[in-house]
Amino acid sequence: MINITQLTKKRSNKNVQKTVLSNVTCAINSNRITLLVGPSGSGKTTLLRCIAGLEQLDEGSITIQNKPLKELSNAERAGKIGFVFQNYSLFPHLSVLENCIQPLLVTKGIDRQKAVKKALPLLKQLGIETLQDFYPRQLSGGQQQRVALARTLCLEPQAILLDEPTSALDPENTVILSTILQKLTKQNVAIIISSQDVPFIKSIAEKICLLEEGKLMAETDTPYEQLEASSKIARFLL
Amino acid sequence: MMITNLLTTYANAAPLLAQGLCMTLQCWIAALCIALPLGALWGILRCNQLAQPIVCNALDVFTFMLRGIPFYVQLLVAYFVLPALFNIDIPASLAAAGSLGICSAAYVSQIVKAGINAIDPYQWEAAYVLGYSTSQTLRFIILPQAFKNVLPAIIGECDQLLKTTAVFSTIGILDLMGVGKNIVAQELNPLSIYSLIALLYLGLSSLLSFASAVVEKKEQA
Repeated sequence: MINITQLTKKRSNKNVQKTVLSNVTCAINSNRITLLVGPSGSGKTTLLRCIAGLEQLDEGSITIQNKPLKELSNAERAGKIGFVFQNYSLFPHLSVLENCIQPLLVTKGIDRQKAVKKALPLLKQLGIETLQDFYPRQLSGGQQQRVALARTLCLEPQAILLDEPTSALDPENTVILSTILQKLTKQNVAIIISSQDVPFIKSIAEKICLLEEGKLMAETDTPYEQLEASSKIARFLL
Repeated sequence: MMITNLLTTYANAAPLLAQGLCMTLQCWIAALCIALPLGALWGILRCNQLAQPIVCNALDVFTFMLRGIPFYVQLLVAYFVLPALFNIDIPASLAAAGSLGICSAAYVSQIVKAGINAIDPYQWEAAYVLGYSTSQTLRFIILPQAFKNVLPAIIGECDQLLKTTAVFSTIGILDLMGVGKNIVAQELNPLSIYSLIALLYLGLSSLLSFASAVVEKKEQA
């Protein structure tokens, strides 16, 4: 579904240039949850940002369903890739419902009634339908995250990227999130998550990519329980 | 006796002062019509997310000049120097409202720029991943939030603009101050006339301060 080929991303600060991602090549398929794991600064978030089109690539390419990412229009890209930020980035001046329907009104041009009809079942599915008139500042971290997920899902993307989704969640909300994500994969959605939360990774990962210092060191499609104890990924997750 | 004289002076001056007040308000509104849209556009072009080096440098030089040169000098340049340079006739009211509007736009632009820059940069990115274009992001996400941030400061700038119109009388405009000067020249009673003019300016300024307080209170609620 998403093919990343020889991706290199550099950052420069004054005269110092740092390679954040180096020759990363991997494929991400639908129907499964892919975890990007690695220590802090290994390039997990940058890789997600590259896939979301938020970063200019220095080398390499990203294709989504065989179409280069850079050739997609804004609306096309949003229909294929959704991104849930670590800090959720909800629009503070809009209510929960408005946060979810405004992208539909603005970028897809559908009428308000249809947008509401589309958003309400999603809010219900995520257990936040009673919060539709609340503003983001009135919600807890877990609720904000579900709103961010609902906002993304309204656009029906084929892949959803989540950056450190459990960093502000308690165990109960982490379980709720895992259940929601597992349900989504059954709807043919590809889920790509960057995380350092080892229990969460172990419980949910169907594919794991290990990044270290911007390089893809290992990847596996084997569930965590069946990994060889000596493998790099198993050792990282110990 | 003294109070009777004062009331007679005010009664005689009232029609002229009312005309002057109308002229002040007309010039103020005309200057606002230039300052607010121009300043907003200027501030948007100058915000961190949309900054283009060439445009920014040009706008910065222009802002530096408009903020560095006293408005009185700008007014005299607009009324006396530009017509002589380009051999055109600029009516006093146009020179006054135009120069004040452009000068104030430089200040408004700084307020708008600061208001936009104060918004979390992730809001731009969130809008981008949701498929918003830059103009849609500005219209639906950034400006509604920035508007709330800058409204008290913009009302303050409007207040400042109103008070600055008092210098228009120096190029012959019969605004509140200009009319007042003429009345004083005839009646030789500066204390009562200038006191009344001061009170009128204070009253108008108080209305704007009240509006600003209401806006701030609404925001805090």
